[in-house]
Amino acid sequence: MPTLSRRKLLISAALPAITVPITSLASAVSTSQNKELNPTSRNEEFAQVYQSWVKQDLGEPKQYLETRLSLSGEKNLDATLIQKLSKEDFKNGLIIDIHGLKLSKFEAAYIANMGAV
Amino acid sequence: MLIDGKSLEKGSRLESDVCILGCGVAGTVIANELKGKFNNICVIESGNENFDPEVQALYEPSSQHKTFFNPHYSRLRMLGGSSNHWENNTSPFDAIDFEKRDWVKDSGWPIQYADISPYYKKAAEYCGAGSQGYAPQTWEKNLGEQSITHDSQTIDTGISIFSSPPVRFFASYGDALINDTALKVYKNCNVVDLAFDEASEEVNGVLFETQPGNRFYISAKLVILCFGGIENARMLLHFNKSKNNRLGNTHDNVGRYFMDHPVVEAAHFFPNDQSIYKFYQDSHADGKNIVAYLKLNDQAIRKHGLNNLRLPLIPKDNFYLSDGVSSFHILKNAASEGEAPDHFGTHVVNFIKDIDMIAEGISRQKFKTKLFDDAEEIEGFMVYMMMEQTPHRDNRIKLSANKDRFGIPKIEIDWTLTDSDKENLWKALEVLAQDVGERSLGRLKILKEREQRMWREGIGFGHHHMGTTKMAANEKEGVVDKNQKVFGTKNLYVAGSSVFPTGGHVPPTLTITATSIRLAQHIEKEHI
Repeated sequence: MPTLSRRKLLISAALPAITVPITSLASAVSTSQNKELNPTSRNEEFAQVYQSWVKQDLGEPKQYLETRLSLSGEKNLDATLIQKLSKEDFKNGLIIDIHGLKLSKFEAAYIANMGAV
Repeated sequence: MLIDGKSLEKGSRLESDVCILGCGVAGTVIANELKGKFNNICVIESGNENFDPEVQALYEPSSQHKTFFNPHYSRLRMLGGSSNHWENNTSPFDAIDFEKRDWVKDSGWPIQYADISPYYKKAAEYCGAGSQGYAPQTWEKNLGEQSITHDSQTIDTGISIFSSPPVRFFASYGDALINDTALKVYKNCNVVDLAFDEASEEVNGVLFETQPGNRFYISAKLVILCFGGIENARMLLHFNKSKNNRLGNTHDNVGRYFMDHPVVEAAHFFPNDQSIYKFYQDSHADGKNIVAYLKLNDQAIRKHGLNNLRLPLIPKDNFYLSDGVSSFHILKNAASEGEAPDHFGTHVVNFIKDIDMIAEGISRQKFKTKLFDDAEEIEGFMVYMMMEQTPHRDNRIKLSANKDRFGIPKIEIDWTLTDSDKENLWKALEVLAQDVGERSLGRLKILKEREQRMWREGIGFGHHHMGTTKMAANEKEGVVDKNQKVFGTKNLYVAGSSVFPTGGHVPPTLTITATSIRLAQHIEKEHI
């Protein structure tokens, strides 16, 4: 019997659980090259998030991430910051629906950006 | 004393002070509570100690409703009634359930939570749920677990207690009844009519048959209908045909406002940390199963104008939670009907994305072989919601032209779930998604793309029949008063969930028991 590991978008979307640190926006927006964060098996799912993001007329996720980080005054994008901004988004009702999955706008942008490349 | 009606001599004349019609949960509890307080109590029951298909057939409706589950299968017509196959799932109503809520049409009981709450402790003991109550704090302490709702502005934790094994009411309390010299339980006796004097507004006796045509009369100073959530309405409609609707039906309310608890799988929850949800899984303590569930709190219900809703979390594996497997079934069903389902694109994407889990399903079904080890890994929770249905006047039990073998008209069921109730569910889930996101508990996936299937073949029921002899402040709005006495009568009462004006999200048996104890105390006070 083959043993296949199968982590889904739904788990990866629970971003506070991601423990791999991301040291800057530059590395965040280039995570499509980061095998550890973005294994090939997830590319298709990230691309779906990107398509959903674009369909909702939200512009390019990269641009959103840059603006949002600039407004927050934070320089380092890491798991703690993602969690903090996601909590803020949920509190303020900034929630994005990706095929029924309710994500914070920031984390949706983050994933969409990975799927944009 | 237990008397088989079939052994009664033809022409026997029977007498009673209190005549209880039906020996299910309500009938058993009321008889037990009144025992020793009246000189001559009788209980009339259609069935006997064992399941009898011929007796059970008396529950058959005239025709099968296209969605609503057939009550012929969900109820049991025998001593102890449906407690002979219930899950023993008990929890009390919430205080808000009794309120008149402007956003829930025809809501509001003529009594408050405080009128019922004193009876819940004894009711819980009847139901085998013990005496420790339903406060989450008590069970957090007893089980050494924590709820996840302490810091929430939106959701609360509720507690369900199941007796294990379940309490079968007649098996548990029947001996106390039949050993009482002042109490007679008549089995195999089918009530066919009431003797009612319109001038005095009093019921004088009950007519019943042991075989079609083999009729007996029992005089009574007081009669209590305990036939069940549907049968109370059926029999009251039947009695009223020859009594100018004087038995609580001058405003055509009997049988209306029929409700159940629709049960649907409308969301999956993916937690960040599964270990903090142990409190929401099955725990065992003192011969009982304790299960915590999520529910909306009063503040959220009021703020968002929602119906009450129960949100139990049921752990599920990768295979179960696969969107692809669900979409596969939806596409397959739609194809067989020559239609494209709603959200067609999403289903196609799900199908492609989850092709491995679909292969797993086919392999399991066709070859009895598992392909992927991680298909069985617990990935998240199914949120299996029990909805409060808005009382709707057009949802009703009616009498048909077809009759059972005792000449009682069979029922027809008019039942739909309104679009506003469905919308309420989605709104409530948006509220929940925001709450769990805000508190970093995880993410919610709302399964709206499954909606078409969910409201048809996917819908389940609590089998909790309520509302058909509604309790109200006046006859214009209901069938019984706040003490469960039928409007227009002086000595006819109704017990059971048929008197509930609204149903909350709560399995009704605990509250049926509590209201039955309360009714027995009222009768003792008013009629001795």
